[in-house]
Amino acid sequence: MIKTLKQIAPPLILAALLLALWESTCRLGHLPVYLLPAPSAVGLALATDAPSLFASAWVTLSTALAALILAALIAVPLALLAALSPMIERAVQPIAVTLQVTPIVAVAPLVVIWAGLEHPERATTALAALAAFFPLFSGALTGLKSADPDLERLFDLYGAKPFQRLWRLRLPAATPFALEGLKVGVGLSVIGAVVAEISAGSGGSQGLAWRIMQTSQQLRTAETFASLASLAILAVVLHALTRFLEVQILRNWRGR
Amino acid sequence: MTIADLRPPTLSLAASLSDVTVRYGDRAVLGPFSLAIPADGAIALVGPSGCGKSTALRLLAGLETPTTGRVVRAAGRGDTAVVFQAPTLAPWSTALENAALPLRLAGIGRTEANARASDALARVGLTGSAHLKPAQLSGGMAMRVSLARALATSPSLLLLDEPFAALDEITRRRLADDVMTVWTGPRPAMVFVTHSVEEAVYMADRVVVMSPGPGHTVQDTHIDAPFPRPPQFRTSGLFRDAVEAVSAALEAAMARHVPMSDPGDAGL
Repeated sequence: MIKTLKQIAPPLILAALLLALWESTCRLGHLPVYLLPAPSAVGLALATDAPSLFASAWVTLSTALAALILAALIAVPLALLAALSPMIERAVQPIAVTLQVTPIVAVAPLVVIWAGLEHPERATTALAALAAFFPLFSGALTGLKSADPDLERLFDLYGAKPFQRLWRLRLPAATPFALEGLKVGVGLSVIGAVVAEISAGSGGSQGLAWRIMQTSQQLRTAETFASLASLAILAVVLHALTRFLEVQILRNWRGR
Repeated sequence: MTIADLRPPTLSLAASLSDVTVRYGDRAVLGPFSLAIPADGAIALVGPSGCGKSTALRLLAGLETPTTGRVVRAAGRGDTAVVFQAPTLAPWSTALENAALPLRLAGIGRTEANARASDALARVGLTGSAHLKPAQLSGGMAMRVSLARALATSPSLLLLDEPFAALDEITRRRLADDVMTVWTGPRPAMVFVTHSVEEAVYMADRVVVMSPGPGHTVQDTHIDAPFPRPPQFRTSGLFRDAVEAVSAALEAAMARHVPMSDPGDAGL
């Protein structure tokens, strides 16, 4: 109990101090609200807009999750193929890397056109999937190739069939790496969804990023902050859930 | 003339290597090397690092093919077991699942495989640890699981590649005793690679000393003491004489490479 308190107290105290500093700066400095709203104003905006913020958060969250599933559906089979055949790996790897290093913002306008202007949700999902693809693919591929070479030889010795090797050796060996890829992929899928919402432009998808654009253009800065705070909370919760999932699965995987 | 040549030719062999050589590209790693393994033999291979003794073991396991020469294996697939230097267990599987793995790979159903695996675990003294995963086992226990996995298939040829190198002296001796005594039926033919001359003499009925790579046989010593050998064997005169003879041969074999690092040549 005291240990947990020692763990969570320092960041909480620091956050409280920063908020207090921010609040007093706004009040004492008479800063205009459109420039820097006080935390109390942001809190008020969070409270009054809660229902619509929740709806927007759901839009962004569902985009990110759909993108994650889409990316995994492509990345995992592709990683399996690449793990089975070095030739396929050599063929796929440069393209995967190119996709990874090309800034997603730069690809966005094209994807928006391809998805059709009347289907902005397709564009946002596709872009977020593109962002999440690489860590999922790379994690799965690295994992599938990470099995202990001596265990591989043992499977040779006992004449394991390809399916047995995949099921009893490669897939379980890949688990920790795939989970690591998932953790990175989750973060990137949120970033991808945000970038996509901003690129897709007005009103197409009314997620949190769209709200940020909307309210900032109208200098409703307190609401911008409220949307930003919601986005941060969303990302933190998602990361914590993934981390929890990872810890649970790995504990079961290695038995402690 | 070696002891092996004096054995009656009718004696059944578990496996043999005849004038095998192995090269990787330009580099010769083994041979020409010959070794006949009687069905009840316990042969230790000792030699300097890089002499190709692990390669010889892989040839016997069928995990590698020789560049030239002939490998004959009486034991079929699933009839040969290998114990590696590290326990080489699947970290995601329990001790029981690890021991049952070879049986499962051979297509034996879960119930029977687990029954045979738990029998093998019992023989290495791990009955209570069947449900533990490798991360929860000590180094010695993990090595025992590895041994149980090799026992589970009742192999006719058991190959051990520096099996206890990573363990402390006490655990090492206990495992050496276990390897020689855990068999319920007839003991399989055994070939093991080791760096320890004492271990070789204690566990083997023949100690083959190999030259630096590409390795060939420089001495084949018969250790004339019946199995199972009591721990007191380690203090007997026979044991000490054999250790001395093998050590001398090993030093002589390595001495031929010494001029490479001789201080007299270092000036160049």
